[in-house]
Formats: sequence, C-alpha cells, structure tokens
Amino acid sequence: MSLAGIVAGLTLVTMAMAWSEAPATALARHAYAAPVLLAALRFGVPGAVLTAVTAVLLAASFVLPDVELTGVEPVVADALVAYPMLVLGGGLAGGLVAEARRHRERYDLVVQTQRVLSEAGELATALDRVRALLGVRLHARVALAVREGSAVLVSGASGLATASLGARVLATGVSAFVADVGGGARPRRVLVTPLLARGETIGVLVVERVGELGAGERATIEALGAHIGLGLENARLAAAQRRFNEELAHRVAEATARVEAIDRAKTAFVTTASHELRTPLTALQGFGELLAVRTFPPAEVRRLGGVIRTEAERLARIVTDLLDLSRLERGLPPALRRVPLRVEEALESAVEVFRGDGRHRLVLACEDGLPCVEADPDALARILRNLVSNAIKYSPRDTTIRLAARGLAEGVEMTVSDEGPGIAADALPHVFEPYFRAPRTARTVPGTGIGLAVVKSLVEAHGGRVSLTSEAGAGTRAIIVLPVHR
Amino acid sequence: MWALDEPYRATVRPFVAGTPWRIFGLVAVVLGVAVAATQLGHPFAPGLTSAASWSAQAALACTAVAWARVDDPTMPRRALGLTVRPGRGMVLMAVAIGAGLGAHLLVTASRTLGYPIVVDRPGRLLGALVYDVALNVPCAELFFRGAVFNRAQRRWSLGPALLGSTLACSVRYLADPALLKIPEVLLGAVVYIVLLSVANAWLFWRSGSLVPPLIVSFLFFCAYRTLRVE
Repeated sequence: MSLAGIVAGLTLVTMAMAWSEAPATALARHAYAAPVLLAALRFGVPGAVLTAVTAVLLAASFVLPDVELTGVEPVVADALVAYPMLVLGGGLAGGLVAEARRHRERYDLVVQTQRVLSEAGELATALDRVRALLGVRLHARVALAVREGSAVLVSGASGLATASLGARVLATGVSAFVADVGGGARPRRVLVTPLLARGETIGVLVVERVGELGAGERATIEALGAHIGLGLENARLAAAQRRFNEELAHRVAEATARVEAIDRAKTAFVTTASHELRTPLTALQGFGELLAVRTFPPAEVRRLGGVIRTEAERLARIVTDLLDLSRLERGLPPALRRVPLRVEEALESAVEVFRGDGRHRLVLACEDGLPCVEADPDALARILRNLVSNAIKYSPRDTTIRLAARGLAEGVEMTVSDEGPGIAADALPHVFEPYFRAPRTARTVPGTGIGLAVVKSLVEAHGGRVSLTSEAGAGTRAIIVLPVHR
Repeated sequence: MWALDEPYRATVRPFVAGTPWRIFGLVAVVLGVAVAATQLGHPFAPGLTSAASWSAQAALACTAVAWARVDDPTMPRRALGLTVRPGRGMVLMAVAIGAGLGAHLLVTASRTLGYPIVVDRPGRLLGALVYDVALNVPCAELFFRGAVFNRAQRRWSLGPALLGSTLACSVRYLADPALLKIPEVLLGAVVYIVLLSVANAWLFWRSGSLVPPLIVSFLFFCAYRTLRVE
C-alpha cells in the first residue's frame, strides 16, 4: 500500500510538473515531499533517499530544459534548491524514523527478553529461549555463554574454546566486533558483547549475521547484553530460591517424619520400660512380702535373697541405662574414669556373670599377649554385659555365645557372636538408634531398645568404634575396637 | 558458532595488501609516454593514448585478481563475487536499474543538451559495445565492486565501502580521456556515475555476486554509446 502510494505520488507530481508552463519554478515541485516523507516513514533512510533521487531524476527531464531556456535566474536557482533539500530532508526524516523504530524495537525486545527469562525455570532453558527469541528478532545466528559456577553453560554452540573471541570477551568484559570472519560470498559480521550483572561479566552474547550489522544496531545489542545479564541473574536467583524452598520443604518433611517416628518410639519405649521395670519390681515386692510374712529355712532364705539381688541388679542396670541415655540426648558424653585395663579380665568377668544362665554355652577365646586398653572398668563391663545379654536374649536354647579378643594395629578388637536368627538387613542400620527395636522381635523378646545406643555412646566416648554384622539365620556378631593404652 | 567454537586470531591486513605495484609502474610509464606524445603532437599519440587506456584498465583487473588471491588463496573467484549465482529477483532488479538509468540518460541528454541518439554507424557502435563487454565494464566492476567495495566492506562496514568505491569509480571515469571535458557533460557524468556506482554496490552487497552490477553497467553503457557526445 505504501509502495503504491509512493509510486502514485511520484507519478502525479511528475505529471503536474510536465504540464506546467514553467516546470523549473512550478509549485508542484514541493509536492514531491509527500512521497519522500511517506517513503521515510515506511522504509527509513534508504527508501527516502531512493524516492528523493527518483523524484529528482523524474523532474530533471522537465526542469533542466526549462533552465536551459530561461538561464539560471535567481528565481530558478532558488527553485532548484528544493531538489537537494528533498534528498537531504528525506534522508534526515528517514534517519529519525529509523532511530525511533530502533528505540521501539530495543524496548520491545528488552520487555520480551525479560518476560522469557521470568517464565523460564532452569538456566539452560532460559538461555535456549532467549537465544531463540533474539535469533528471530535480530535475523541473525545467536549464541549465549554464561558462567555457572566454575563451568560455562553454552547455548547455540558446541562449547567455548579457550582461545575463542567469546572466551576473550568473557575474560575482559569488553565488546568485540569482527567485520568479517571470512569464508563466505558476503561478509559474516560477528559481535560479541558481555552480559553484565552486579558489575561483573557473567557471560557473553554472540550475534553473527551475513550482511550489515550497523553501529546503531551494535549499540542496541550491547545495551541488550546488560539487560539480559540482569535478567539471567534474576532468573538464576529465582531458580536458586525455588531450589532452596523445595529443599527446605523436603527437609522439614523429613524432620517431621523423624520427630513423629521418635515420638512413636518414645511412646513404645514408655510402655516397654514400664513393663521392664515392673517385672523386677514385682519380683522384689513379692519375695519381700513373702520374707516379711512367712518363716523360711535358712537355705530357702538364701535362695530368695539371691533372686531379690538378681532382680535388683537388673533394675539398677535398666535405671543406669536410662540415665546414660538421658545424658546422651542432652549431648553430654558419658562420665568415664579411664585406666589401663586388660580386656581378658573384662571378658572373663562378663562370661562369669552370665555363666549361671545354663541355657547357652559361653566360650571365650583371647589371643595371647594382648596389650592393655585405656578404658573405664565399669563402662567396659556394661558394654560387654549389654552385648552378651543381647546375644543370650536373641539366641535359641543350647546354642553357643562366643567371646573373643585379638590385637589390631589401632587397638584391641573384642567380638561377641551368637547363633541366633540374625537381624534383618533393613533393620541393621538402625540398631544403634535409641528406642529402636527390630519389628520382627519387638513383640517376642523383652527389651527397652536403648542398650545398643548406650553401648555405642560408651565405645565412642573411649575413642573406639562399634559395629554389628549379621546374616539372616547365621547369627549376629558385635565388634568393638578400643584404643590401646600408650 | 565461530566466535565460541574456533580460536580467534586478529589478522587484519592493510587495505592495499597484495597490490601489483610493478604493473602500475608499467602503466604509469605508458601513460607518461602517451601524455608526452600528445603534448609533442607525435603521430603515434592517439595509439599510445589508447594503449595507455587499455593497459590502465588491465591493471585494474590485475589488481582485483591479485587482491583476491591474497584474500582467499583457496578460491580467489569467491573473493571477487564470481562464485555466487544471483537470484532471479536480483537479476530483474539489475535489468530495471540499468535500463532505467540508461533510458533516463537518453531522455535527459537529448532533451537538454541536445546530444542526439545516433545509430547510423553500426560498426562504431558495435566496436564500442565490444569494448564495454570485453574490457570497460568487466574491468571496472571487478576492481570497483569485486575488489575495492568488497575489501572495504569486509574491513569496515557498508557506508565507508559505498563511499570509497563510488569515489574511486567517479575518479576513474572522470579521468577517462574519452570523456568530453565540458562542464555540463562532467556534471551529468558525475550524477550518473554516482548513481550507477551506488546501485551496483548495493546490488553486489545484497546478492554477493558480481553479475547484477555487470548487467546494470552493460545496459547503461549500451544507452550511453548511442549518444553522440561530440
């Protein structure tokens, strides 16, 4: 439509000039301004200049013969000035239109880029989308390279070569323009401009075009680099915030589940502990009343006294474990009095305590010449009793409980092995957690679920380590390593 | 993507790198002899002038080729825009521009300066056209568009390249001994050479091929040769 208007305008004005009696001074010459301005508005500088030159060429055929006839009178000279002014004015108007259009496009592009960046989630996606948008809007090949930690994320190229122009701009933060990279019938122009954020170069924008890439357009692209840099930084911060929120939600969910599990375990523990405490208390109460109200022969009194002592010791052991666990939960280490100690004696003592059980065989095997460990005698005794007690509780009758000790480079290793049903693989990682009881045995075997947690805290307070290996049906083996006394 | 994938080495040669200065020296000698012969009124002066003109045009073509060999050693023809086949639109546009400029020249020159359109001596017209097809147009386009404009646009941008090639082209035709040195002819020559040069440079820039500028120039010179400017 515009082109037709321009052509029609030129034709009409030229016809008016041709029919004029004095074409050189005809007022119709000023009407050429209309198609020239129309061309400036529609096609910018090239269109305006081309239309003005066409107008001059069209008018020349009528104006110059007239000038030849009349001579260059002042009036004619004045009239002729209109033609160079037409070219000049058309060019200026076209330039202003082009500048205004460039500003509008720049603003529009910035807005679109920001929108794309705000919608894109991950940085790689954002880069791809911005690259696609710029490629369409700039009619050029576009690539982006952005720093991501110590690496560089690239979109639109296979990578970032160390000695490339992109790497140089990334390092210096100064734009680079290459008028022709060669190898083509037409010049291939390349502009590499830094992407800026927080005053730093966070990446580069590469625009490669076959054809012209003028100074005005280069300035637009350089300004765009700053906007993209800020947009990318915002997108990166938003993505980090999203990741942080997701991670936080995940951790809160985990912690909540853990707290709920502990709560359930504590509830179960209270039930179990009440039961565990009540059993020896009932025995003490029953035998105590019996001794109080009835008269027994001395041998029977001794037997009943032995039972009362055993139950009291059991009660004391449970209470000590509870106190230790309480310290552990408050973050306090167990109170220790460490002295050089022979493990053979501690193991023999533990065997002796449980010898009277009568339902299991207890076998002790120690290497000769074991060095002394540095340990609290009471703590070590409790560790070993806990382990042997567990082995007895979970092993069938007439099986063997083996205790052993051997020297290692880092200390002395003590093991307590049983021939019980073993611990399920999924339960094994949790056996040292307070209140944990393996689901399979929790209902059938009495216990509080705090023994192994106390063992672990005591061993670690000595600077040693404890572990448990087990196979279903093949028994369980508890291993303690305590450091040697130096 | 070149700027990211490939190592960068800044290799910008001087604009006149690869110029065959010896050939220009030889042309200068021939020109000097021709001028001297003309001044002395020697009977061989017209022949020497003609030889100098031909050798100067050959020197332009040689320079274009020499530059192309430096700029693109593997395929010099590519550096001169001789490997690209132009689109039909470009060819039609070249025909329109060449025919339009030629027609305008004929109308304006015959209406204003009174130079008649003469085709009564076909031998002379044919000889002039052969000269244009074989030497004048190819040499001028090879040098001003294929070499000067192309080299300049690959070093700077379209504007300076357009300006440089137009100026050089104007100088070449205004200095041509065959052009009548009277003000109105010189003024007209400047206008048409500038228009021709700008149009040819734009066509070359747009198409990457030397064929459209060759078409425009040939059509324009066809029209020019029918004018009796004496």
